[in-house]
Amino acid sequence: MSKLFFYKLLLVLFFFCIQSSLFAQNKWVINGVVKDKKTGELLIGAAVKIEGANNGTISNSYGFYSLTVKEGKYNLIVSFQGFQLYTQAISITANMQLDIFLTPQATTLTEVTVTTKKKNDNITKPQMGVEKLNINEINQLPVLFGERDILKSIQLLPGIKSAGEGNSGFYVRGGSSDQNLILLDEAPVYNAAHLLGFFSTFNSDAIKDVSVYKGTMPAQYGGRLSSVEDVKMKDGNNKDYDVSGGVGLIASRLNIEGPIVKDKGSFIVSGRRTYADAFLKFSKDTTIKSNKLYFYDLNAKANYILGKKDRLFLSGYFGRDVLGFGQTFNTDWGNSTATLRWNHVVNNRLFSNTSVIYSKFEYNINIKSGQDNIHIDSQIEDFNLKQDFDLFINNANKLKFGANVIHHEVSPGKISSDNPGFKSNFTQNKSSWESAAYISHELAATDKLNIVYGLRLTNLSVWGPGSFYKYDSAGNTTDTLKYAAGQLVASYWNVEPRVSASYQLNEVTSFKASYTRNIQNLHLISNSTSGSPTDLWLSSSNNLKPEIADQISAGFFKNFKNNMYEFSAEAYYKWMQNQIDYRSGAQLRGDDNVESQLLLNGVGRAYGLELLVRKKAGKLTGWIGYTISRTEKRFDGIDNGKWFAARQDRTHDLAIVAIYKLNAQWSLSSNFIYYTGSAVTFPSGKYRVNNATVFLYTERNGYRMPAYHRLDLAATYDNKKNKNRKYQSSWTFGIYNLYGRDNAYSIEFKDDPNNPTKTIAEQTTLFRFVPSITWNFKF
Amino acid sequence: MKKYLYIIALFFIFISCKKTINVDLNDAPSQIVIEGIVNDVNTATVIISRSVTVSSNNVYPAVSNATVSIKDNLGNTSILTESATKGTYKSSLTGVSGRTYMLTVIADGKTYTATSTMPALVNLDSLRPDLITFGNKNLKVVVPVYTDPPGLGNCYQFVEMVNSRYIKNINVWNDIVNDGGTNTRRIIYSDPDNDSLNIKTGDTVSVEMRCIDKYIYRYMSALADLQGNQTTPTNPESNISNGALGYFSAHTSRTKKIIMP
Repeated sequence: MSKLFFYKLLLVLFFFCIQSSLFAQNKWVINGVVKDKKTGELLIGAAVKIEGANNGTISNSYGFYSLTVKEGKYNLIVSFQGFQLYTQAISITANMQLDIFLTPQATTLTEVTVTTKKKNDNITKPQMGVEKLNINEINQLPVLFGERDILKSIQLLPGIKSAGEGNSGFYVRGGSSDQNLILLDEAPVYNAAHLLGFFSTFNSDAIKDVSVYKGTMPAQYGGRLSSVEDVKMKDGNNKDYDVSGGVGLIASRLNIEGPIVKDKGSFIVSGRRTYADAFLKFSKDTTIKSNKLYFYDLNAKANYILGKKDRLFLSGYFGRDVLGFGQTFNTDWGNSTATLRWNHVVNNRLFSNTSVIYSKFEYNINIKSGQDNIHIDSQIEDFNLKQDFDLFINNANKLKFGANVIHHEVSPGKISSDNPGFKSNFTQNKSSWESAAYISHELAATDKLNIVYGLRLTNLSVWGPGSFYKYDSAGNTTDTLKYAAGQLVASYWNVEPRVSASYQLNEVTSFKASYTRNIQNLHLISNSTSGSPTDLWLSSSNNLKPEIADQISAGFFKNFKNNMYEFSAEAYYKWMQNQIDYRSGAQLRGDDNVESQLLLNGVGRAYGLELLVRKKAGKLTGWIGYTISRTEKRFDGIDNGKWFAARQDRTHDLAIVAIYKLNAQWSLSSNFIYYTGSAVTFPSGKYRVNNATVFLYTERNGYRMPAYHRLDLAATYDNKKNKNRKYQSSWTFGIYNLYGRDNAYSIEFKDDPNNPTKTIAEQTTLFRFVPSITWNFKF
Repeated sequence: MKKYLYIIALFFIFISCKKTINVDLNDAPSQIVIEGIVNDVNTATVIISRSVTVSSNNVYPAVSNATVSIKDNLGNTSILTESATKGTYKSSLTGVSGRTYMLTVIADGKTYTATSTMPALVNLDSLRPDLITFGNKNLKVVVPVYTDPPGLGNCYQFVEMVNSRYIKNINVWNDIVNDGGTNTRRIIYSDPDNDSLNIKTGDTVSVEMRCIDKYIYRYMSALADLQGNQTTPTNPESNISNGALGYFSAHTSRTKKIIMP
């Protein structure tokens, strides 16, 4: 039924397109790509406009644009933050292919970007709940240990909350951290954290651009409830060789990029390794000395222009964390991703991209136990084939459509040993297919009204072979069903409608509203806040249903002082269904019956108001973001089915970010962060069992951690004498938690070691006054 | 997980700090706590007490004058009588593997019941001393040697004493790992506050191995999780009716002793 509706809608849309293009026959089409003149890097989201014709477009994720204009003479104007305004007189008498090269404004590493002509894209675009952070801006912000990090920087924006002190995990509009779809060149990254969350897997040297959609994503994205973080790697300089890097307290980075064939193809290789373990070596204590603790990342990408119409991209990421405790306990984990993409300009209006994507997260544990070596191995592996089209029908109509199919294979855990007497344990592998088709139409209905609407149709199918179980409400197995290879175990069809509209009151003021439904078919089973390497991903199955979120939001956007200041207010309400929690004493590892340990069919609701004031230009730039919100969940098996505050529930969340360009050499930056403490479960009583004190809990998340706040400062010195030389360098000095606030990382209740008849609460604080120094270079 | 945190803590040791704070906690009303054990070697014991508020001393009021009985599935009933220690009820009942026991407690006008089936005996063959080495530090541990019968579903609990001192760590494991194999897993005890309490040469270590049913396995696992200070603690699911805290377990019991070399 819903499928039929979807196809009907597709047909209607296509007829509409054909009709529109018929009317457009007396017009000509200009198309091409927008690039950085210096490096040949493709520019995403550059505004391409025809002066006087009152029309324009935005370059897509591969820099491609297409415009329809009547015959005549025009000025073509292209603007992009951080680049000089580009103007070219053009005379249109036929279809035309025109690649545009923009000159960067800043030539040094850490220049504050100052746009000469301010844009009002935030007003005109119908898309809401979207945040874009510029890598230059991210590089300016003070960060823990001086290790700049895109996932920590986005937490400074309203609606996006940190999962905890120094943590790269985050919550978006009441969603949990596994409900974020983190894409690196289209490949999902399953565990985007190093060192249990203190660093993200993204080495900012290799990153070009990051867009965050707070649950209001357009139809081409899908698979997670709360948000999309679309991270794009740099393509590499196709004009000249560049070597850059940095040396910091925790890690060093090296980045090499250059042409494969000048103007035809380029490559970039970027690596990072921490040396935290080097500190351990200084210890006199051999216990500490024999510990291992480090991570490394390798990003690589190459692209080649095959002709006027075709371009190939190959990108990959490999990261690993290694942690060892003498000979006794060793573990390593990490992500690998690979993406092969083929861009093809089918004609001057239709752009095609075909991607083959591979993604894997695995972890391995080795435990040496006497004469035994026990290995625990687990992984999730994805193969993904994706086809996307961008159709620039005319200036008022743009269509995106496509399809993809992903094969997920989850190996929850294999436990084996070198000892022949040890009986290995193989948990059954689980495989599923996730397919989607989407269509999204961007319509400039009138001069003032812009609408993006679309549909995403998704299917999740679980296939045999294997044993599948049925459980009663207490989690006891009631039936075991055996399926042969190729037999369908469960299949879920879902339609995800998405619509966003903006109504522009005038040049600088608009209202926006949106409705989105998102489906999530991969569920993370975890009891940690930040995501631990041993977290378990499960696909929807005969027991687990797809998670569903419906979100409505409305916003008011206004710019002041020639677009120098942006103000926005967005309110949202979100309903969530089929949420998952687990039973007390749940054992999540090595058990084929892991689904019996879960509490299913929970519901959630989240609502809030996000305010943002941003100053985009001048000596002082930055923003103030404030969110007031509430997130609650309800499960039949928890607190007798009462609503309780979710862990990510925080009433107030404030971030103030300021970057001040002191002079040509020095720039200063500062963050101030304040948020209400997380909802936590503390004991309300105690009793004795097994001769030990046991705490009694009366309600889920009925208490609050103390409020969190801190101030960070950083100063960057850029040696401008080198401006005309190829060699450049800069120093960044920073201090995290300047006034040494004792923020609670955890609060533990235990018997008082000095008086065993009493109970004490012990607070652990992680970071106070953490200084950092980083040296960056480029030649 | 705890292990990772420990290593991470080593790394941040220069930075992290701990302090005792005051937290304003609610006072939950006092609840009844029943801890009942039937085993196959000695007397059946039921301890009944009450919970207190967190700020109180760790003194748990005993519940006296309760009526306590245990009935098996063959219809044999045993009455437990209060011993000299207030709140502790005993009888000479010795359990048999395969039988289901039903506990009935009537205290302060309320009736609480629970059932537990005693699993088949798996013998504890011996204790083997072992070492865990970190750099130049060694931690002495013991391995309970037993052979798990083939087929999933066996659950074990190990209660450790060092020089007759009861160790509070809860060690429960099942046969999902190494089903049907001879155990090599160690009982690790490392005192969090005082290294001198760790096992030394010459110490007498005794271990009681219990074959427990799967409900008790889940209860003890949940209790062990609470010791680990997890993010969202929940009360272990009791097998006793009417909202009582605690558990009732019918299990086999075999104890071995070793003098650490």
